[in-house]
Amino acid sequence: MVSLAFGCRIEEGLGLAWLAAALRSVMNPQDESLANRAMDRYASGDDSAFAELYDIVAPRLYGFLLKQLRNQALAEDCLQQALLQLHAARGRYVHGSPVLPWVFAIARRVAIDKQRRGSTERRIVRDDDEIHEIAAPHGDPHGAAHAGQLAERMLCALEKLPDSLREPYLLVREGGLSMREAAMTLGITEVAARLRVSRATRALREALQQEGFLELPELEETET
Amino acid sequence: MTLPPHLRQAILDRAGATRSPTRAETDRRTVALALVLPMVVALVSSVVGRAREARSLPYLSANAALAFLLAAGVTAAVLWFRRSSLGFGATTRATVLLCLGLASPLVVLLVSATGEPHVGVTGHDVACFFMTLGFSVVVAASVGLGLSKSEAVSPTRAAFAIGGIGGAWGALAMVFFCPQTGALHILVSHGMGTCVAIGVAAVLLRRKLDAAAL
Repeated sequence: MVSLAFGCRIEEGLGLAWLAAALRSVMNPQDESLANRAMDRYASGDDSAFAELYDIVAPRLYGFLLKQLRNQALAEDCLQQALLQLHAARGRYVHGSPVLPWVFAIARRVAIDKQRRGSTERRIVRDDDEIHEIAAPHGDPHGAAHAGQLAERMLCALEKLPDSLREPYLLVREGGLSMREAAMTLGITEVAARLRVSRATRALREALQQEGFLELPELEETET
Repeated sequence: MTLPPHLRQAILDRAGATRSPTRAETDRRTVALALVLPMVVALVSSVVGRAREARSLPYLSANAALAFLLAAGVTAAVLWFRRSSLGFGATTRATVLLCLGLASPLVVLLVSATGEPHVGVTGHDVACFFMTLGFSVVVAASVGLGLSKSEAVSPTRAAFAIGGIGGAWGALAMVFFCPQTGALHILVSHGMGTCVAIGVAAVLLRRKLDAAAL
């Protein structure tokens, strides 16, 4: 199991805390096991397990799709389609195999399909909830403004990353997948996934530093 | 960004309204389509073919045994390594299986091509081209249908590998069907038929295999 840890120096108590926190939020192994069990039951014919599976998987999948597509309506559409495809292909679930990479691989392909059809109106989605969450404890209106500005720059920098770097980065950051799971989702080796996430992080850091933003988190990867 | 609450009910309602096969049903269908039909094609070709016309029984038996082992081996390898829900998965493994799938029918063809080449295209050459194409596409389509919605990562590679399976069983069928051993005939008629069949199967099956395709 691979987890991420961030050594993060934050300027004026704010900085990139939200980014570091999000990157630290690797999926709880208990959730993963619950998802696998729910999928196993669902594949065996227990229809009620789909609701459980939705509750575990959908929030992470939605986060990934939203950042990947930068369009709320499209992300909702893709989430719906991906989960319905999962429903249609439930008989294909192999007992004991990890469900998350499978679901994310389906969602990724659905998103690519949508993008190819040209129905994507890419626009920046600012995560106001996340910004509010970070700024609120400080009770500082300047902090909120600063966090908002930072989030927008971050999304712009993400937009500029090539798909080959953005996808693994978002799978780990938004989807909460481990490096191994991200690699399985993309059909690449774990080493390649690790390298891409590391490059994406470096590119984002450099982009934000050029914009004049503070000191940024250092990525450390640890085997647990 | 929080998940819109209306989505949950909408997705659960839509999933509840459409029936999808369970794992047991899917497994039964896969076995039937992926294993039974290729055997039927080989059997039919051996009954209707003219295999004994120009070849000795030991030669025919050796060729057929090799072709069968390769076809069964490549089918088993592809099905075995696709045990993950993701399908072929990582690039290296998918590429190895793809090469295996594509190479096996060509090995059968090369081994079969032992006679003197003839010059010019005959009706038999054309007939063999279409028979190879037909046998291979039928088998590939049956295996592909048996594995529908099973590839989440690389459906194109999987479609080519399954085209290779079809080609391998098609090559076995042609061992029984066609009595000619001329190198040019085997390589052009049977070989070209196999290559075209692999391409046709890949085009036909790519979306069928894709777990994300509607």
